[in-house]
Amino acid sequence: MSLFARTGRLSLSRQQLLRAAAPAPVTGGSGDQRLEIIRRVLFEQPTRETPNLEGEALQQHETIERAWKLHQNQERERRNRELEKKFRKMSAAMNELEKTSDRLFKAAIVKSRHITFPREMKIPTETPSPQGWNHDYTPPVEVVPAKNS
Amino acid sequence: MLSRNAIHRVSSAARSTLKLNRTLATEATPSFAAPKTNVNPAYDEALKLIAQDKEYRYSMLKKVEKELAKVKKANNSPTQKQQLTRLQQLAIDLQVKAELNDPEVQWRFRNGMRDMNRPVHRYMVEREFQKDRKSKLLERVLQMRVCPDILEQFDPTAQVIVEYDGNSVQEAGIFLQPGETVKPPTVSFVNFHEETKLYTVMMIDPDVPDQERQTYQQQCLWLNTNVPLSTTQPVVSGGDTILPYVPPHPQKGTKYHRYTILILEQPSGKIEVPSVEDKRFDTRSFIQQYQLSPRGVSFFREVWNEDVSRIYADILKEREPVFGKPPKASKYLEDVGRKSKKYLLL
Amino acid sequence: MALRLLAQRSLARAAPSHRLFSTGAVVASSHGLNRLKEHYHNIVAEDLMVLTYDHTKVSPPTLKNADLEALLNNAISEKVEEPVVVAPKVEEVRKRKGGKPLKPIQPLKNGSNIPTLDKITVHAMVKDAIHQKNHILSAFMALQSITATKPEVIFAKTSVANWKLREGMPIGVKVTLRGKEMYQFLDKLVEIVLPRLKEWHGLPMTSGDGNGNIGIGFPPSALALFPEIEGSFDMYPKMTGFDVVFNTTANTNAEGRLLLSGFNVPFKGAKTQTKK
Repeated sequence: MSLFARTGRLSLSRQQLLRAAAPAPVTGGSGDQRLEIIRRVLFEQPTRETPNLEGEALQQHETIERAWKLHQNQERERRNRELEKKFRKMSAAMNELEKTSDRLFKAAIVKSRHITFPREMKIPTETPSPQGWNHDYTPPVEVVPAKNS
Repeated sequence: MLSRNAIHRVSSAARSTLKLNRTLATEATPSFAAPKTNVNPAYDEALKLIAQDKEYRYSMLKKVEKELAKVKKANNSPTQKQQLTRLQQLAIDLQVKAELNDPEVQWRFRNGMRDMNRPVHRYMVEREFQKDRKSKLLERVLQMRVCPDILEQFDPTAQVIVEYDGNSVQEAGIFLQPGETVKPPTVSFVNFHEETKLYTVMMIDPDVPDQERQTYQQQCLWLNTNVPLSTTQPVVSGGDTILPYVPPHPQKGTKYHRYTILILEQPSGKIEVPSVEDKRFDTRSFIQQYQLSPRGVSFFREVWNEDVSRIYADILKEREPVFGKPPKASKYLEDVGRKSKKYLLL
Repeated sequence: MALRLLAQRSLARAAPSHRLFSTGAVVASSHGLNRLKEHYHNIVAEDLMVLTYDHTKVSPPTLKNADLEALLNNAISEKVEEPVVVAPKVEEVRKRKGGKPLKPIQPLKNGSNIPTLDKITVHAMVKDAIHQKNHILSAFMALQSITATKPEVIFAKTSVANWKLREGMPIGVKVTLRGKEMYQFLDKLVEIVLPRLKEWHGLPMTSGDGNGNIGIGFPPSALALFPEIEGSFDMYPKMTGFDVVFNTTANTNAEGRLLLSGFNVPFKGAKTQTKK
């Protein structure tokens, strides 16, 4: 049984069969109809063609990809640098505290195994906006592309 | 073992790319045409970002060069050498990263216009070798047992390209015909150091039968020492020829021979090698004796055909040996060729 | 980010056949950013660094994340770098109670090894598939719908005679999620599915495999809570239970729990207010 091997395009005869088949009776009694639909949706979808880029379009595409990677790199490095700086400062502060006050230092290194972020912490969302609905919104002006000859 | 056909097919593909590279480099070099701006806003934005990054790195490079000049002036500093190496490293790193995202640099690299004077292209070639070609080379070298047979396994640092007239060994292990390798090849070692270093280049055949000892022996077919090489001068020329080139001649009756080209660096500078016996050559002891360190390897394979007889007659001027199993005495036929009788009257 | 927005806009204009980027089920927000990922980098990461700080395990500073100015200053500095002498390590015999497998040695802390979510594995074993292979299709479809990724089929590794299971039979489906798909799935799970689970108050405070990875098992009814399945619930012949395993880069369970609670995954008995 080629349950999981069937992928790719429908064969021509299969397409014709599907077209010719009468619409399924809506009895819903047996699970077979639904399984057939699932199988068709999962494994008989035609594969999407990957775009084949050439020449100028390819160059543009690669340049954009490189720039995007560069941007992500810059962001990552910036983030890491900031974290590292903060970490070193924290470490230095702890060293200082160790010299200054033994009591405070001991209190600072106490850790709980059952610590979690508070449940009330809300992950920021885009909506609803804190300003309410903006009734005077106008969409940004589209950049009209120059006609390619 | 790989089939012979597969290797031939691969080699022809490699050859065609090389040819393409060469034609692009010499004949009517196509110039880089950047895509039009103001068409795709994402592309414009990408160019802007890349230019920004480049500008920043070049401004840093200027600072580094200023510091370099300052450090060079201060002669009596005890840490001068360390500072210089660090600064030079940083400068090269900046140069490479500033230009790596440039569309033109990428385009030139992809179309075979590789300028080894530029640090960015050197970096790209080295990365290509390390990430792509090295694993293939090591696979061939280990699969066909070049490495334990001739010398211990080592880490090649760059590609060795062996070019005969019309044939090039870009991929190690391909089959060539003895007729194609009569004239000495052009060997190039695509290294990445700007300063000139001295190398020993040799060609070894580890599959020559040794009839006396009933085993195989290594034969050195070509030995050049003190060959000066640098990244802009990768082609092997000059140096001292200890053993002149002898064309590969796989003996009749033997299996394929692995003709191996070794590139060995001479870390201690110039070496003096007196004459060397080419038969029963021992690569391991030679490397040890002159303190060489292996840097690159490539090899091709050959089997006997009629051209070998011609090489023996015209070039080597020797009687051609033919190897094979000794003839077996037949159980059933007598010397005269008649069938012996099955039953004898005693 | 302007580049990303412009790229999307230009893509929207281009003919569909010339689209260069994948247009999968993962929908980015109008900023083109991933909500949970941004939340992690902007808020959670820094807090995690503070909360998991251990003063006895601080790694020496390196130039790994240094900017170019710092590199230049290092290059012109006159201090001679002393060669690091690594003392030969005494091979101490590590043992764990009960002959359990040893846990990896925890690395020293610095700014760049803050716990993060590495991957999420969604796995469903379909027992009915032993008798009728078709049953696996339903789970396959369900997992593909909720994760927007094509699942892989799991085949039985060994035979179990009592279950009438033989080696090589398809027995389950699995999806491994990483990157933006992972965050999208977690978002859905945390905002829509977990709050609607009946009589479930959160993960126990003891959860975790010892190395900071945490798993949850879901009953078949939980599948219907996903918005992708809710609408077409009747089209699935069979609902299956499934488990979700969060693989984190944390080294201890406490760190793993802390990380997940940063993504609003509820924990039972957790204090609702942080100690001042």
